[in-house]
Amino acid sequence: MKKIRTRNTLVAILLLSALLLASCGTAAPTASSSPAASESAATESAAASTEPAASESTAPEAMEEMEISISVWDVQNSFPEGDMDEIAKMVADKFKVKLTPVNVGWGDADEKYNTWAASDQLPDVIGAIAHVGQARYFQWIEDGVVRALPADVSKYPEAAKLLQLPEVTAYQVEGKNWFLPRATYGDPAWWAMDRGLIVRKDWMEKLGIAEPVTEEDWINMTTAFAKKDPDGNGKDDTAGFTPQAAWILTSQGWPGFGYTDTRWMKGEDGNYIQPISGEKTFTMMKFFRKMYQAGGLDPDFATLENNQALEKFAAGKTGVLGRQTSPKHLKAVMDAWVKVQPDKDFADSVMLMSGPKVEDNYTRFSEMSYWSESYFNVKVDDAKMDRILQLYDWLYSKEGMYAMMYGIEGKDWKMENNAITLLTPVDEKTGLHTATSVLYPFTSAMGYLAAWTGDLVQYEDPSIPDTIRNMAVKERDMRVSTWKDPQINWSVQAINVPEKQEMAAVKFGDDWVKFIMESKDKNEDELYKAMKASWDANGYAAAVEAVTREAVAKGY
Amino acid sequence: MELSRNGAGSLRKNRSGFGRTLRKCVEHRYLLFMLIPVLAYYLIFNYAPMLNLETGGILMAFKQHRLTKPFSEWNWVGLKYFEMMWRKPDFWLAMRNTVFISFARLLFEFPMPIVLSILLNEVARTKLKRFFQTVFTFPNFLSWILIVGIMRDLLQVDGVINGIMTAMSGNQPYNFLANSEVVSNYLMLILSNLFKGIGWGSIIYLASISGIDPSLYEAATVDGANRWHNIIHITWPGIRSTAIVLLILQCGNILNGGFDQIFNLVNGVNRGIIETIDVYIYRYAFQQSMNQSFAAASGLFKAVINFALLMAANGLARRMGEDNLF
Repeated sequence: MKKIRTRNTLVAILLLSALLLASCGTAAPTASSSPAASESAATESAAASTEPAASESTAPEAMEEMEISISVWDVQNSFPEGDMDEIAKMVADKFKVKLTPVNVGWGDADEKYNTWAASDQLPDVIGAIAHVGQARYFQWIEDGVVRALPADVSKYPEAAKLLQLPEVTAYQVEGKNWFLPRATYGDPAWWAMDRGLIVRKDWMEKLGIAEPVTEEDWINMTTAFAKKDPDGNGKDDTAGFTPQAAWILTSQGWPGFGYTDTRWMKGEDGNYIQPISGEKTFTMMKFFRKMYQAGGLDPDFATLENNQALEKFAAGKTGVLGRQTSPKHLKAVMDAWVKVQPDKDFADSVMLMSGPKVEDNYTRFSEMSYWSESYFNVKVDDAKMDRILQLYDWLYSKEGMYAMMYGIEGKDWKMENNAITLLTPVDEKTGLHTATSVLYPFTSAMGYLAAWTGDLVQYEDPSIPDTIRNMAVKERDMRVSTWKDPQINWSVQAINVPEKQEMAAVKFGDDWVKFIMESKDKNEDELYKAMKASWDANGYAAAVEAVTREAVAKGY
Repeated sequence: MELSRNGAGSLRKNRSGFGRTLRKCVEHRYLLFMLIPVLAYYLIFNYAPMLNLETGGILMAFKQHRLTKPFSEWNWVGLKYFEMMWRKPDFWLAMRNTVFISFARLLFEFPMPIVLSILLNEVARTKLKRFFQTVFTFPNFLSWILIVGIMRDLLQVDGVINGIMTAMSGNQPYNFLANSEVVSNYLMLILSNLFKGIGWGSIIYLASISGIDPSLYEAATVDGANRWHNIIHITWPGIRSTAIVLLILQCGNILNGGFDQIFNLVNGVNRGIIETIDVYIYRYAFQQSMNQSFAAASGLFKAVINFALLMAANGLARRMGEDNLF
């Protein structure tokens, strides 16, 4: 009896151990529980092959349905619970695809992708990423995380046009393209409007402030906004200048200090540096430090998240907002504004400004014709790649863009005299058309999967009020025609040296924020000296040397 | 002859020793049975990943990690990543922060659950005692994300605390969440950790206190002892051995410093003050450079130091005649 009991106990122990081990084992990934790319038998060959599958003229009805996992910022918004909307159905039928969203947020996309890359769990389409030319871009290619695009893309004319752009071909590795660019502006000069200052004109008038010119004027104005109760509610509840995020400070948000952003530029000594580390940025940061100490810079600026700054401005709690100022972005501010202050006209209350001109001219914010990219899991085989390229090609086309922006032709919009007329319902209170993303949730994130559709069409977008568009167009034309182009050499940005990876943890922006907030009695020159020493010790000096050496060797 | 007799005796002794152990194991088989999940946890989640050569395991620190290539194709790099770690000022900054924060925790956080358990023990009404115990224990079940959310509402520049402070003093609001002052940051860490963990930490002491023979208190009261005397001469000696064991275990955690809490509170401004090794490793592995091998080297270094500290604390406790782990 005792023996039997002992045997039973042993069996129970073994069973429990087996159960524990089994439950902790690696399960095969499934589409619903894991972001991993759907399995493909041709994993290895996909990496090597660059030719699309033979589906040259396959009609949709003859195509087999294919499941594609897609990841882009907030993609879950495009796939709400319940039935698919009309546009989602149309896309599914047109391309015979079942799209599975794999969500990432604006704040965690990089971390999620890094974790999934390390655990072989990336989705088919890796869309929330902007790392071209950075260390991780080359690492993913070298380690076989992503696949190359087909060499012949003539079947996809819209995509082919983009892939021929010099700022795309500059990043070819082994003569192949590895990503589809997220098209942003037809003319890169229009990036000039992607940074700017929206100022409360009515507050200036109320407080009797003339248009500020010098650094001192700006500090005085922002301080007055914070301390002189510009909204007249008798409370100390307003801020002076609130940047959307701390990076606005260095990324040409205040363009009068020269080029202070992160792109590698040739310095006076011939070395290629990231100007965010340089003397011009130091001069600018001393200005912000003064503004912060005077109370003009929002004391919360270092910890603001997402749209907090925008909401603060829209609610009348700050006088200067630092963010994008193109029509689409101005409309985003206005949309938030009309909810909180419906009686106060937005366009009458604000104006666009550029900060003090410390150098002889303002320097524009500049980027390539695209911002951010889509990559494709190495497990995506040629047949699936073909289907994905078809989808992207359509999204790049006018037909696709209009569907994403305005809905269904004839029902939600029509073309009249070469211009779009919206047929969607108008809100009585705000006078604005119902957003397409409300009518068709599918368009909300899918609308920017291939291209920043809203940015591309914003200067013609009929859903944006003329007052705002005119304000932005006037400013854009002035900036494009008179401001300095920083002349960024994209080939230098594409230089791949291991030293770039080793300095990846250097956080210039964080250090500048700390510099601004350091106590008044600390010596600024010494703080800057210590910061530079820390950057160099953490790999920046080695990266400067390596990038310069490589740039000289390549004759840039 | 003598030798063989001794040898046989020793063998018999060993056999009987082994037999006795076996007998004890059989006798306490149900207790041992309960140990299996814990052992399985450590084997599966701590030792198996270290020894898993498919993903690199502990050897990742000595090879160059490649994302999709098999371990056999990774290049051996020797101590390259340890040298890199040695050279990086931000590693030493994180190391310094970890040690300082852990000592601050030992000094200010460690005694608090003991104090709370003694205070709770002094509450005479059972219902009231249970109420307080529940109130203090509840925050342990909240995630750090939630607690940091509450902290943001309370501590941000236009938050509740600043509202009260500025109304009372007329001074400028203070940015508790983003500043590089040591005292303010440490206070924030310690107080929030106490809020979350003090009740949970006191449970083990309350269990020890409940094991103290009530007749000791009765006898002491008859002899004229007051509450303070009872605490000093009966309660504290009753829980001292538990406190020593927990202190030793805490020493083995000195380089841990608390990941979740700090990960949620760290930002560009306070990074130099509160970033600990664990957050630093995560940053290198997943946030910025994706340098898994470097992160593995830093993690291995940390584990070795932690183990050494644990052994040292255990040895010290043994020498001082206190209870120890092994």
